[in-house]
Amino acid sequence: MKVSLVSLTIALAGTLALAGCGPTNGANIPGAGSTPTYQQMELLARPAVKEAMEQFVNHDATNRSSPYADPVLQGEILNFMTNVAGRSAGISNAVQGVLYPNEITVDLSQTGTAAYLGTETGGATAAFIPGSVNGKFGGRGLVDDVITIDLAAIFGNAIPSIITSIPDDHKENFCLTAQHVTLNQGGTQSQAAFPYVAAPH
Amino acid sequence: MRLKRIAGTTLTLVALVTAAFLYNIHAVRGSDHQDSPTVVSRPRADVTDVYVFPSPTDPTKVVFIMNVDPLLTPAAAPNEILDPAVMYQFKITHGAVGTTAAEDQVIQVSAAGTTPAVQQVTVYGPAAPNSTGTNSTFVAASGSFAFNQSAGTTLGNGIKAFVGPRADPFFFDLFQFFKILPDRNFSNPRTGNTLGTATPTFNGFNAGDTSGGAAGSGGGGYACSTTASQNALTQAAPPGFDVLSIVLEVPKSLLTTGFSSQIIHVWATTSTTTGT
Repeated sequence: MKVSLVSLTIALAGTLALAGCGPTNGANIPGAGSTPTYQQMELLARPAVKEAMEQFVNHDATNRSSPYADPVLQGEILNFMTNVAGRSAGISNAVQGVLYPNEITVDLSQTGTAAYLGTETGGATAAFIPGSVNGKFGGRGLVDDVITIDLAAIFGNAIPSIITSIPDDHKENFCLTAQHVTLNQGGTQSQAAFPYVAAPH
Repeated sequence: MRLKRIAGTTLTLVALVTAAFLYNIHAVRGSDHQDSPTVVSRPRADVTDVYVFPSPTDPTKVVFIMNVDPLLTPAAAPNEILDPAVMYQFKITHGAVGTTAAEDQVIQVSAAGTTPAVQQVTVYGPAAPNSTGTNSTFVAASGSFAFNQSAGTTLGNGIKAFVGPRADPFFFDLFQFFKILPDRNFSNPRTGNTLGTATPTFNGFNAGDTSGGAAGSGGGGYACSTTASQNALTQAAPPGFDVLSIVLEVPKSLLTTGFSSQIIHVWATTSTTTGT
């Protein structure tokens, strides 16, 4: 535990050191088309796809790729579903098909609330989101239980129930299909007024 | 085991130890639970979560949120700012579900000034990118505003913008997750792709449990429970963790005018001139 505390202390000290140097006014705002070129070092879209399904060693490759041209994630999703979760080829391929490219899909023509993976599933994921309306807008709301939706697809019956042409493989593990976390505890996830994210602790 | 130890300490110690534990294993950074060493070493470029939802207050707008800088304690959060060396970027492509098209629109954010009191944030776009792929340059600026003004600033193109510390909205039962997938703990990395490798990788699925059985029949060393879990990450007080939120409430018309599809696909990136 000492080592852990040291790590945090070093991290915080580094942060404070960074905050204490450099210009202190509004100068140096880059202009349009200005050089130099910025090189991508981090990418995030759908929550927990990279983190749950991809080996840690491959995160950097995904972070430095465009999601439509990721050299490793597509294979990692299929490998995870088939060899780790132990699901059928049909279900594994369906999950891979939905999650790649790893981008948050939003249908701006739809009304109602956000629903994670709602556009891709014709609104089916709204069933996992209390208070959701329509669900076909997709996107991701602040209180969408994205982990439970992922677990339902990975370990549950979600895929065969949504895509009826894919047969149930009878390899569900119902113990793992929800995380049972209470939403919006103390209003810490969302608020009604802009900027919608709750004030800091 | 760790959780039991933590629970036995004072509340303050809980906060410190939990923060240290989480930081040390590099395992919980919003939904982006583990990240590459490059990203971990520059936490202000570490994206924890991305949200896109209809504006609760204006049906003509859609809200984009990118959270960065994971695991800020309440003491640290007021001192945090965006990294002036980083280009924060929402990338967008239009088209049918499953499209593999490159981005055709970007919204970029940068900051100048290195204290919360003086930092100015600039939004660029939405506009077509100067180039597609992983190398980027800034498009035309849409306006600037002061850091951490919770009322928000409406820019000339109608975007209402805020950047500042907020409560991390991500919720996740970390300790259940590590029981299910222990290799996702940074200290116990997976060494192979499949079960049966030298390092135990997965406690959830029991290969012999093919019945699709009822709740309670789970396998593989995981204690099946439907008891409501108190999230060990961000919501459990005290103290809760904060992040830096980039909140852009964007008129839908800026995202649809001139495009044949109203379906957009969004991802967030951070970039520097060195890629590190």
